Amino acid sequence: MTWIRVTVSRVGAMFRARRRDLELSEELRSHIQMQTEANERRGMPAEEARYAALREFGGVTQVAESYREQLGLPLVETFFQDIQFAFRMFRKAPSFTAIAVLSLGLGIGVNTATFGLVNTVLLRPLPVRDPDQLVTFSFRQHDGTSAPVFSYPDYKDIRRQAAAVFSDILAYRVGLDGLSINGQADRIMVHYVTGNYFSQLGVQPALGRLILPSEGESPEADPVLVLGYSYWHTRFAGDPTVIGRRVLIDGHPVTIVGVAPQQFRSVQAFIDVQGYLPLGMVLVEGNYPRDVLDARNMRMFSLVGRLRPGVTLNQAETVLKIVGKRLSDTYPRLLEGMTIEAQREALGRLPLGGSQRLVAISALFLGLAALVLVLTCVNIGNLLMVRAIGRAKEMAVRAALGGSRARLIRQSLTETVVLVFLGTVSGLVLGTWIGRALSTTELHGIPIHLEAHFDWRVFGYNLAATALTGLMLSVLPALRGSDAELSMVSREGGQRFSAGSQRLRSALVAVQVGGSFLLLMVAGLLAHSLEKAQRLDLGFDPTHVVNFSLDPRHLGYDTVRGGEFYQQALRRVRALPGVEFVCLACCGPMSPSPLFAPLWIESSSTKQDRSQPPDPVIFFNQVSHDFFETLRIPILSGRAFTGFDGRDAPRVAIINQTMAERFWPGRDPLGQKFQFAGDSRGSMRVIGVVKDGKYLGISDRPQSYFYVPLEQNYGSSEVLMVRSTGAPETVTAEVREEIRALAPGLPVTGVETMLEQLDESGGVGTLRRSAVLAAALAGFGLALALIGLYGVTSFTAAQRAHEIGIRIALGAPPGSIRGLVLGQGAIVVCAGIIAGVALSVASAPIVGRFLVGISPNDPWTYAEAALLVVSVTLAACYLPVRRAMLVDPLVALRQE
Amino acid sequence: MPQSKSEVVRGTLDLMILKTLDTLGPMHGWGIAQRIRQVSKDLLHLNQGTLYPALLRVEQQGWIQGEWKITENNRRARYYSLTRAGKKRLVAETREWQRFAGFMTHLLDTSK
Repeated sequence: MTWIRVTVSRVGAMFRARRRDLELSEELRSHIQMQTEANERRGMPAEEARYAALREFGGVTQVAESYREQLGLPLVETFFQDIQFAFRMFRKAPSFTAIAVLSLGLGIGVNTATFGLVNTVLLRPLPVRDPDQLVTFSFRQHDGTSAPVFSYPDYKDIRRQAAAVFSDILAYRVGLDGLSINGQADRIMVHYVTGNYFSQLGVQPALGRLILPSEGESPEADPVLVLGYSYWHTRFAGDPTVIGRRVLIDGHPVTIVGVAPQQFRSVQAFIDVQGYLPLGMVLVEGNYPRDVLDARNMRMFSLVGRLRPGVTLNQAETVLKIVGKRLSDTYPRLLEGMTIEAQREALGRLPLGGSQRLVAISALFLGLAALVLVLTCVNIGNLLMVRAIGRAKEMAVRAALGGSRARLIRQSLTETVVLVFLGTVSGLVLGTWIGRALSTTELHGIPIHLEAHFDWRVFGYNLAATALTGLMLSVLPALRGSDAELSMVSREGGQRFSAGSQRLRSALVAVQVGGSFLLLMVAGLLAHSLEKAQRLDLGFDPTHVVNFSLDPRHLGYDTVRGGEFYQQALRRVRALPGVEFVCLACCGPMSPSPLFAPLWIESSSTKQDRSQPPDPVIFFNQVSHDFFETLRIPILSGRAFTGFDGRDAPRVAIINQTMAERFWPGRDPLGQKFQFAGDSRGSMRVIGVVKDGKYLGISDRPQSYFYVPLEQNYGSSEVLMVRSTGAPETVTAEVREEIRALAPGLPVTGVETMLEQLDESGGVGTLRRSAVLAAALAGFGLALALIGLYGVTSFTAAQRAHEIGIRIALGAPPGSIRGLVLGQGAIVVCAGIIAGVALSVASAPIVGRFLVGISPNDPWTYAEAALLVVSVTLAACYLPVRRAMLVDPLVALRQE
Repeated sequence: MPQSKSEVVRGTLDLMILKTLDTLGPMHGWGIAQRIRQVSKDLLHLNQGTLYPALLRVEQQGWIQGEWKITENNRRARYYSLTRAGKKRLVAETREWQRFAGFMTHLLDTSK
């Protein structure tokens, strides 16, 4: 109990330190005075009396020290002292401080940014009610492919039959529509939603109301629109009078009834949806038959379910399995062998093919970032060590002045803490800055909102990273002996230094070298892939082509009027000077939303019974007849589409080599027939075969693909592709002008050259960004290894300066001195490279998945990486070696 | 008794201070030092300075109380006096000491 009293008294005393000091001085003075007087009374002369009194007393300074220690909270006070001292030390060595703080900042910053991204992508919940109950569904077909879309009748059945485990399921479809006010159209991203969308998500409107449960069921009824919050600000300037205003969506009048809340960006975490319409309004998109909501073969809706409280995902999946079986039994033709899969909403945010992938990739990146931090810490530890040696003299003096070992250790620990603190602050700043830079982008005109938001999770992670850093940097001194001990011992001749800690240090640098090697390998492989990718045979010629995305539906043009518009557009653009060819296609090559459909193939065995394998699903494109000429796709047999393959002519199609091989092996495919499954318009005849190409991405494997003429299969959203004689940029303005003349107010989007588009969606861009990122990381890692190696070699040289001095004095040739210092470094580097090679081989299967045209075990890349590492490390050792050579033997010997 | 030497010294010094103040009444540091030297008949060679940290410690525990007063020589000095808690502590500690001394005597006697 008294310790409370004592502590209180001590804390209080801290604040009255000066006064107590003065009081003590006075008290001691008075004591000595009294003793002096007593001595005088005993007969001593004045001066002697005083000396005797002082001697009797003991060391005044020591008493004062002892008193003061008792008085305040010595730990706290010395802590402040230490901090001041640390700052002063750092100011005196600006380059060391800069390197250390920057390295730490980068290490911690990288971790913060990475975790920020992972947080957004995986961890941060949707801003809705009970977001962890939400589940997304996907439809897996008999052949193993899966897609996240269902038909409306399927949705209704699933909703009804899985009601035991789901309190409700909502459906929505993503659309790109034109919102026109007074003839000026914007292309916006919308969600067509079922009535229970907002009520199930439990969000409240920022203004007006949201879609009601009663709305959405019937086609084209309920022409109401809810605006997305940010769109309300950008297009309508946050005007509260928008409620009740009438606008046109693809030429159809709707009334704005409300605005969604600010943080809500739809049930798709990253897309900043700009408008919400009832599901029934999906017909405004014009391409669908009136009975689209009753058609079981039209799979176009995404489903999100809310688990009942207490129901686990496993239980739900079991029920869904039963539902899926029941559906596939009831509708064998369409749904044979289908299964329904569900996963937590968060895991399905990025379309990476499976929930496990997202977690795995996140873990991978976090691991890499953590590795970078560990390397940074090892490095700075080494630097601190080198610095400690330089301060040997200072430490000796302090020890002589009475500094206890504990005190000195505490002081150097404080320096470390200050360093870590500075590093954390800069890391935090850097991390959030990087995060913010990645925050909002537009991908293909789709408003993406990847908010690398700074919330408590990120802060906590940052704190953990800092604590870990601090721990590592303080543990290292304990391993190698504290700075103070280090300096004191090194004065005595380094040979006495424990081999153990030396080995540990060297091992750590070897680890750094190994890590850098791995990063260099990855960067090199990616760079080579990039090279290969750019020279890849795509099956068409992408140079000199520029694309324009149009959709006359945005202005409300129907099939007839739209078709006319396109015909005229083609004619007028073709007539422009500088234009060689022009064509239309439903989607550009490697578009992010390709077309695909199930087919019925008429082979020689025309009997279609239940034992036949279910309908293959093939990708295709709808193109105008100049398509193959414009893109220079070689026709291997048969012919291209002509003007005669019009709306009323017999239906035709052109297939690629792989498709011909797959369905009619060994036979001439020309003249064979196939059709879209369940298509009332009947079958199409194959009239041509074209060369294979890449359709979905640069890492495509060969697959079937076919083309149908646009005139026979109208789609309102088209890409106008123009091949120019000169540079594609030259014709862009004129083409825009022509379109504007034909249809003023029609939004023209996605204007980019074919090469640019391939870059974006073909995966070349991603590859390039990854290569750049890997190169940056590799460079950083190498820089770290360089610093680390410099540290270790310097240390060796300094440690053995004495020995080197003797050798030089005895006439040793410079070569042997060089060998002595380099020897240690060389061993470390070799060990590091071996470790690096092992790491690279181990990670080859993972890395290989991202490469194009090159094996992850490519020997040339290994050689390049090794060469780079060796040359860099030689450079690192250069300075210490030089210094070792210049050691003045007299100075070195005198250090004994 | 696994106490370090310095702890033993500290402990007994505290007791000496309490006893001295009990006997002499309020006294300043020098006076206490003189009294201790006197009683120990000069056998105890204590650096007078070590008294002051001890006085602070005892004051922090609340067993004595310090106050600035004027001495008979018109000098300012800090006088310490025993508190009620101090008096209780003194009684308890004395009893402890006597018990310990008795035990040690008995032990040393019988193991002869």
